[in-house]
Amino acid sequence: MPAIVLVGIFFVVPQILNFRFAFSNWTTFSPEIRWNGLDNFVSLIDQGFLLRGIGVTLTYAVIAMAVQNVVSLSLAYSLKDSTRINGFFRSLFFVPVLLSPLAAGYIWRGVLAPNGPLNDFIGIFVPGFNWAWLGELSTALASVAFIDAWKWIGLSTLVYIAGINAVPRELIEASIIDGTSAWQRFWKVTFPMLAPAFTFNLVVTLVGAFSAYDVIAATTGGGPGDSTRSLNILLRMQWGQGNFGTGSALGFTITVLVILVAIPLVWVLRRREAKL
Amino acid sequence: MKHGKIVGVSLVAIVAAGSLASCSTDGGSSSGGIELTVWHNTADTDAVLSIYEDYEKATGNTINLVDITSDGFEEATLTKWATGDRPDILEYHGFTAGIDQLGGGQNFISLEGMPFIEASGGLYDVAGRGSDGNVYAAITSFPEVWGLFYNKQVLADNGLEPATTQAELVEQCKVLSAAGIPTIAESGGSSWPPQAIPLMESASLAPAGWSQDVLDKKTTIDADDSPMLAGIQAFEDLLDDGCMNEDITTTTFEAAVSKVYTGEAAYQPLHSNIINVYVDAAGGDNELLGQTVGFSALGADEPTVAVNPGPIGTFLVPKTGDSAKEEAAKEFIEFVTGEHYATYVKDSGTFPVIEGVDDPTDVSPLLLEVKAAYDSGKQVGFINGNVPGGMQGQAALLSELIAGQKSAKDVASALQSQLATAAKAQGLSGW
Repeated sequence: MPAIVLVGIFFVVPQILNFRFAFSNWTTFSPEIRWNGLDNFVSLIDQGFLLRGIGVTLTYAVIAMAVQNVVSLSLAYSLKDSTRINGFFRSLFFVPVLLSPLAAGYIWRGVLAPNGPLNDFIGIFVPGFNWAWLGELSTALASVAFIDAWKWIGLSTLVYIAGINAVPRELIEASIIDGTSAWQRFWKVTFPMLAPAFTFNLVVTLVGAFSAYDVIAATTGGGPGDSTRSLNILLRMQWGQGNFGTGSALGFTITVLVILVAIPLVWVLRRREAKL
Repeated sequence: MKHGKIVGVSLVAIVAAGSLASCSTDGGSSSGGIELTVWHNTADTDAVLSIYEDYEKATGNTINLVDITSDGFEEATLTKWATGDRPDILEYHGFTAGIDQLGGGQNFISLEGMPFIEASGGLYDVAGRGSDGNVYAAITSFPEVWGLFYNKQVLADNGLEPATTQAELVEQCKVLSAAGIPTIAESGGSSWPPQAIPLMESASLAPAGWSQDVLDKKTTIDADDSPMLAGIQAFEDLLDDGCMNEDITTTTFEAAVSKVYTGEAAYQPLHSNIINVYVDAAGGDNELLGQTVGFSALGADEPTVAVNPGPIGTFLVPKTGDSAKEEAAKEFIEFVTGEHYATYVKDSGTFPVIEGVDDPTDVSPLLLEVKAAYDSGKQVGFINGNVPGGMQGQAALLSELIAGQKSAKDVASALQSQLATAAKAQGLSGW
């Protein structure tokens, strides 16, 4: 009950109170705030912002979610045993989680610069290699999504490690006696038992990436062109131009997007857990 | 009856004269003890910060400084403003669209009639006014002067004089490209600098009253004869001709400064307020910088200096409803533009914009070149500053042009659409 009250006071009520601004003509130009129906959404669609922003945000979220979960699951499996060396690497991979997203963005902006260390390294094998990872339309979005994934991999790794270590030892031993290979043991025994961890990580990474802003702001600022303009980047652009109503409409869109994706996703994954 | 009227008018005149006298004799009618809240940019120089301290000493009033972080300064100000919060003095931009964005005459006290306006030459012909024509911003700092920073050795080695027009830039591009040197170090990685060429060239081309014609719907930003479209087209032409650095999408303006300073590129189109970055590139050696880098004006067809008052040292007086504080805030404006101005110019080391104060003597050679361009070229204001919204979406649109997603015409059309949105929001008739 206290949790519901807290969520209600600090999340639900402010959200509901703010929704009305998405349907208002609120700008810096006038002190009057009036209801304007769907004008803000029509304006955003006319300018090509809304659908493009949703597309960029979804693509970013899917890439970040996929990279983060594949890598963290692999890391978790490698680091599942509680040894001193594994403890060191678990801590090492957790360091980016503690970094400010802006700091992470600035670090990677340097690493991925045309004259940065990544290109220098590739240049050892491909002499003269020069690629603006964050400056080319084809790689900018994937690059910033990768940075977001890198930043949060440590957290999802810990969740997967906890899940793997919660698998009953007898099950593993029984499967060994049955003559399964390590690969079979992972897919047939461990992975199904990881369903709750999988649900948590999938939903948190996907929904978290819908709020993509800080890493993008620190690396590309939404460019090149409009290739990394997520909904939150667009929101800031509208806000900066004093168009608070259209900015609020973009915020409202993000909320709706999260609800539309998170609720069915959680429902499907929970059903999957029950089946497994 | 008639006699009574005369007496009444005389009494009003006496009271008014008395009020004015008390204002002018001691430099401020507020007798001290008033606290003024100032929203100020965290990038304020020491000279600007000294203004606040000196005002407190001179008047007995106190100043409560509220920091507005310089990174995202406009957004932060707009956000605070949107909540209904108001300072007694606002340090902000002094161009028309910026003033109008905060409500113009609805929210600011007019400074019309104050002596500094008359004493600032033609500065208030291009800045400081809202769209209703009244002056709302007191500009104390030497404005941003937009032009081309250039590497002297690169030009000399290739037998070139500093370019001052688009045609000269295009011609020099052929020579410099043959020598393997990018003509322009452009910095899309910092988002805003690519606006420089479109803004400078459009300002030089715009006929008088063009912005009003746009507002009156006699023309549009994307019309074939639009100066804004011509400026954007000039940028696109230089880009398409290979006159800009290949790493334009990731280069920051600081990196572009380095390219020009070291001779990796010939020109950087930007404003004079980034001189300190050049000074840093030269290791703080102003003499060496003066020998290495120069500054010239740029226009579409003739050398033109586009000037733009920056927010640092530009003050506006919001309406707060507290007459004592509003009066004290106006006295602050009188103080900074009057008795304290010589001290400010001396402290800041920049040139005065208000007459009656001598130029500082210890000025870097590069800044002297900026001043020479300011004094000698035709002075114009940016045309974006006079239309609703200030074309603030331009940087993002130019990023799309650089990425090949939009043409110059597309960018101009999008700007027209954004202007329409802002004009409608402002409640302008016909929009």
